Amino acid sequence: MAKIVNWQNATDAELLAASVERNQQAFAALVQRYHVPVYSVAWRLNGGHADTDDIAQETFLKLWKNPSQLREAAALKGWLIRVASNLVMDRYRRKPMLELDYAQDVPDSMMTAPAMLDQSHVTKVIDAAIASLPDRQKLALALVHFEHMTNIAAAAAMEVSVDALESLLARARRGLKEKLGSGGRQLLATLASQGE
Amino acid sequence: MKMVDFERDTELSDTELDRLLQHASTPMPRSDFEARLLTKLTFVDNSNKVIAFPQRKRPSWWLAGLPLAASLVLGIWLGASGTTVDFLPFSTESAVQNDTALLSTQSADDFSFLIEDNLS
Repeated sequence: MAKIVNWQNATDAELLAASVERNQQAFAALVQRYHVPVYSVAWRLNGGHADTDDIAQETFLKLWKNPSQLREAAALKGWLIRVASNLVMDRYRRKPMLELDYAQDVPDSMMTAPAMLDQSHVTKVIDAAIASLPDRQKLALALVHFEHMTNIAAAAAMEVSVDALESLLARARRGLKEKLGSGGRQLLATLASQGE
Repeated sequence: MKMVDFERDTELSDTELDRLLQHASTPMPRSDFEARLLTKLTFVDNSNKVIAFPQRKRPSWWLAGLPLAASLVLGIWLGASGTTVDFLPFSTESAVQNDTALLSTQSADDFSFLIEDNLS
């Protein structure tokens, strides 16, 4: 393989091949490219728990320990997200999510001023509503809505059919509408009153 | 029917839900995420280079018992054949021989005075 000096412009395949040869610079470029989506998905799945950082780091360490386990470089992002989501689910299967404080109950979206006027309250209500969804619905929503992955790519990352992914998405959206209830409109009104 | 209409009115539309979802948190990893991870990579690589010491085999218990058993057998054999004296040091050997000679020259009657003295 030709020696690449600027790893930032290298393709995923080149970075992976260099990582197999224990090139830390190439691996660092891979981390720089994908650490935000991996962290973000793990954060959504575990409701913003403090160990999100550990999970994201562990995901990349798994890749570093054996980069050749990934056969297709094109599937790298999906693979990383799948590993991260499995780590989250495994961790909380062993240790129920009792430690999550605000994921337990969705804050009342019908609250009156001044709480309603607080932008952070709106964010907190939405985050909590997402966190209260079942894991797979949450993952489907995170991949498609927040990571802007196509349905095909998200289905591949979750190892489900596209139909199954669409079903999960539909149920997630329905669940969110039910959880937010009519207070959702008030949240929108709050945002509108703040000029957003 | 009116109830159904009411529910439809209160439920968010897809557009409204999308607008709300835009206000969800945007989680960001810590700025030193990469640096910490790269430190761990070095640690992982070094831990792979560690060669474990070969485990030393513990000696079997019967190996320790072997010399003891041999010593016991030898003792029995020597005692049975009466050649124990041959293995004793010279000074001990002569003392034993002298005592044996003394016993053989004196008859049992020679010791009668000792018994009588003790009884009196």
